Amino acid sequence: MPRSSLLLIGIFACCASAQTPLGLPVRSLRFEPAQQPLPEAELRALLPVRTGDPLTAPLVRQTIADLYKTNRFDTIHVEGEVNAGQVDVIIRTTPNWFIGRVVIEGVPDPPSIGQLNNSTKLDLGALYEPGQVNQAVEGVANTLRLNGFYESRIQQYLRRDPETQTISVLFQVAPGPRARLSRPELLGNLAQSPRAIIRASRWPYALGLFAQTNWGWKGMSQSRIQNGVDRIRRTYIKKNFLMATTALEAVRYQPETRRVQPVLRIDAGAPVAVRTTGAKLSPSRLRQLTPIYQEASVDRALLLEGARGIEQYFQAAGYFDVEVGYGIDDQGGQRTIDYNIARGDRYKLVSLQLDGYRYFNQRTLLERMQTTPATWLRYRHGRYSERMLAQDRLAIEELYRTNGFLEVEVQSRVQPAPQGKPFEQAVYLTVKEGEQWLIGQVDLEGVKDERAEYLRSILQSQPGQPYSEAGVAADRDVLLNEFFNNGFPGATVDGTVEIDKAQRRVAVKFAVQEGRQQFIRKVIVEGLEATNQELVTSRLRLAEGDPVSQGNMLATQRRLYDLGIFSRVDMALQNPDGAEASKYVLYQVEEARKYSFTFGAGAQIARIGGGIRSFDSPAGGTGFSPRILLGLSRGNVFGVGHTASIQTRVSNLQNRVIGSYLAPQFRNSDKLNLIFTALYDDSRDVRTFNARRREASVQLGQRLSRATTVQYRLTYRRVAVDETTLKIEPQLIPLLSQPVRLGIASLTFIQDRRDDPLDAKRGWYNTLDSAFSSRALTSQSDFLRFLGRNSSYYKIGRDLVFARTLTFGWQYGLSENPTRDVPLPERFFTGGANSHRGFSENQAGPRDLVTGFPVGGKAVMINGLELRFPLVGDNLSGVLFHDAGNVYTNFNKISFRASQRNIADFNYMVHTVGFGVRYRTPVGPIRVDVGYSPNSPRFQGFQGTFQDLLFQRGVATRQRVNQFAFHFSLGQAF
Amino acid sequence: MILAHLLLLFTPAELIDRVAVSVGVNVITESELVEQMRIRAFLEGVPLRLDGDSKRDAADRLIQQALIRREIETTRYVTPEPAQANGLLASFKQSRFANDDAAFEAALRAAQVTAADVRASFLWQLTVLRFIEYRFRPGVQVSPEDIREYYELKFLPEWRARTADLPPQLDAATPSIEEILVQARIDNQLDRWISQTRTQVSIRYREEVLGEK
Repeated sequence: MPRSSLLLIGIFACCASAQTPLGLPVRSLRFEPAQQPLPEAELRALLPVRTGDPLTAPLVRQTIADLYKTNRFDTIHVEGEVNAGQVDVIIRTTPNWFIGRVVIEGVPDPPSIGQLNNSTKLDLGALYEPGQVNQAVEGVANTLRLNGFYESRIQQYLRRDPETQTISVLFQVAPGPRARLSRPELLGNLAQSPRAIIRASRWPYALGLFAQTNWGWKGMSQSRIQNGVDRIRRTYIKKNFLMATTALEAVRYQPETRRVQPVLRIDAGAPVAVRTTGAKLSPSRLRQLTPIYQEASVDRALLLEGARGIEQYFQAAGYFDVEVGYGIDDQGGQRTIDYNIARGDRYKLVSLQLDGYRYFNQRTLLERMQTTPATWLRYRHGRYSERMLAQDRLAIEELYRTNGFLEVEVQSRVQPAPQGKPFEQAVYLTVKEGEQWLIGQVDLEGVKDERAEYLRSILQSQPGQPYSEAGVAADRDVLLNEFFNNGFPGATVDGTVEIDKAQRRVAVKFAVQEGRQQFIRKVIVEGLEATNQELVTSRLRLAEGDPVSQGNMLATQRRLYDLGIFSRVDMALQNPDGAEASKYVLYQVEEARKYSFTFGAGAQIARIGGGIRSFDSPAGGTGFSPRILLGLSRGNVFGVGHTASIQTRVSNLQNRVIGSYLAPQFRNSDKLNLIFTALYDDSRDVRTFNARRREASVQLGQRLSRATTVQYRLTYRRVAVDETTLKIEPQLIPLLSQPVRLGIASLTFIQDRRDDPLDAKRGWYNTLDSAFSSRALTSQSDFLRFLGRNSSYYKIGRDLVFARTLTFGWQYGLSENPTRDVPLPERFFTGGANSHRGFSENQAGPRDLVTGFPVGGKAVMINGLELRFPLVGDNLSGVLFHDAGNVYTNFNKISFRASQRNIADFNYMVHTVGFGVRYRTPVGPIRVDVGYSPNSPRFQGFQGTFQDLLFQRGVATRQRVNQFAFHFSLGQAF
Repeated sequence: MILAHLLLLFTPAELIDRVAVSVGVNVITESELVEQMRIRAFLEGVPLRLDGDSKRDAADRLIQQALIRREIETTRYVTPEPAQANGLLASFKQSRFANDDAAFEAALRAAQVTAADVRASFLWQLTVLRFIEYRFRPGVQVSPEDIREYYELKFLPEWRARTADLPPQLDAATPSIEEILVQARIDNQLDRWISQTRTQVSIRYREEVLGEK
């Protein structure tokens, strides 16, 4: 190499190294690698450095800070290459990774998959930090150990998706055998025998010799250990060792035997006796009122709380002046707690007077109060305690404050009722409303003009409206939600007020900082194995480019759950902390088990008795029917969320098999569902005959609105009546026992606007079912059928509910040919707990003139009235009812006549009055109704066998449907 | 000549700046770190040291700054006006440079810092002081028992060790003892807050910049 060249290289190298890129204009700007985590446009928009601008240190620093704030980069180096007095800027980056799907395979339950997932602490969408997977393995191993898997082996596999920067983790677990529990080591002051403690733990299958073997003890699990410790704790409480402590000190694993020995440290402490002086309380009531039993601890705060509980109990019973104190006596190794009750006189709250109110009416105020004057049954002494009255005052004040009466004051006094008997008290509440404060103006700051008008419209705070702090706080939340649902997750809203005392006006100002709007880059759903991707895509309420909306994200999660095929749907925004303009939305689903098996058993005691082949008890005798239910369903058929199921019911009244195929969200619509059903049914629910049905149907359900549903149905049915079971006049048997094939097109309209379908207090409920059976549908019978019901519910005052219902049905035969008339099993049969309570199940209406068994009718009309009222406390209520109506031979036979003309006349209105009791439970009220029917039908019955009937040997008897009917059921009658 | 141009073409790019420490999604770059060290050396009048340990110390100070700044932003504490830093700058110039502008400018140039950097540093100090006052002082309680205990166990022994004069009575010493105790407790709370806040945010030191610890 010539010397001159070397010299030149030296000079250039010297110049190149001497010239710093800072201060030079930027010629170009490029990223390395070229493929970057953010879209090119977003990346460029982020950079403060522009070509042509001079490169400065603060600009470079800002560039790094802005890029890093997106949280998409792990390292960022900014380099500069000087070329001809300009600088080429190179930004070298390495990406961050975010946690995606986490799968844990190979572990038997328990622990559950949810527990294992939580133990990894790998949160969906969060930044993955190096070393986190090792912590996750340790977390899983720890959870496995807690569940007896001490010899588990865990292998983890990471899969990276550079496009979404997601890292998915698979843990393959070889759990090894589950350790069994063994005899626990019991340390400390036990105060009861180790045998009793071990029995309480339920860790061994049985005590004695069996417990000496390995197999005599149950397998270890976290919940089993915890439950065992809790049960031991409870035995101490039961034995009045209320200060006992039971702690799991250690769990020792013995690898040779694969057994686990729990080590428990117990300090029984002194037994505690709780007594009352001055008034009696049952032990169970005392336990209920004093929290020392629930908390298994004795301290001052709990003793005081117990005293307050006892006070309230006695106040509620009328001892308004009751005073309760307590004393502690430690003697002879026992602690005695004496609750000293000075009951004082027993009062009755006979009156509750309110005055001073103008803005609200008395009813509105009373609705907010718990204090209640005495009533005949429910509150015999009224409901009152000082605390209750204080809460009532606060409730009324709160009502006024939320309506702008900032200076409201409610005063109360309790004094003897004027002209009352001794010990009759009255509560007086005086409301000092003060002036109403109104909103003067509402300002929205920091909001773009085009949005401001809409935002103002959704606020509760409007000029001229009453001002309240609660209203402003609620509006703040409304605004925040609005921003959160429109891609502004970092939005903040401050609500401030300015008070004009002279005008009694309040100016409300909401200062909004929107922050940066974020959009959806892509929605990623992981965890689909058998499920069709399109099904899931159709359920998404999010689309690429939309603003990130928390509301829509939650709606999507809910819609995925609604498919009923996922046991878990986790949702997260990837990289929640990153200040990037577009975000990945992640859903991780876990498919539910495909098969589910159900088993049930039950029994029915009702007036379903009487001989199957004899003519005893045409109006039903007391009978017993055990039943077994078996079901198998297969979810997510073909991966499209459909369900196929088969259900069977076996009893001495009914044998039934139903196969169904349900396509919910038919054609991807929430409003449509399609169901195919095949049914085989052999039942004696109408006592007159056994009917065998084979049926196939298809039904399309359409939800028109939240309250309104329409069902379109096509049914093919073959009904055969077992002629040997028909208890009717022999001449009619050939006609009525003919097997019939029916093709029925029907439409059902349902409108439900009840406040609570299980126990409605307000609203209404309408159904209308219309069916058409005709030769055109290959039917062997031609008729039209309408069956409608209209129910409505009205609240009267605070506690009473008036409910009414009217059921009307009509079948119209379209053929003159009697063989094509409405077949016997298709006629209306009614009566029972949910229709006319003067009858047993399906006992209303026309009867066979020889045997007296019900034969159904072609028209039905039943009107029901109920007055529902509270009886005792909050859970027990009563009902007075009147049911009137019947099943009639035909439409033109419907009559309001109350008397039966003769024993062959069933076309009259049967009236029943009665009383019922309801006990409130979470699944609806348990119901007992007793009805008395003054005009229950009399009819001709028959004593003898079928042979007797054929050869006219039996005895005709005159019978009557029992005037008293008793019903036990679940849920209100309507 | 051509070779020279080619070599120039392949001249390795010069590193301008990079991430030194990350505090959540915020970063402290290497240049920021060095700048902070220069300003501190200038203000304290000590020579600049750029070894690994000094860099880590500087990084820790900047991390604290970042945490406090984050808290100020999220809770919207009122920050001092920039003009308020001028007083501090003036007294610094007075004490260190006897108000000699030329000497001050020369020292700035030698330390490779600017007057704006120094002013910003003073403003930050004011901001932190105000933040501490608003954030922690209201929660500090000093009881008469605490004051008496301090008076007896610390104040009196220290007084006697220092001078043979009669120590002041408890009542007379109470205001100064109360202030000492308040400041000590504020410091304590600040330390606790910082260590607690550090656990709530992911902090990563980059070894390529700070060297291995």
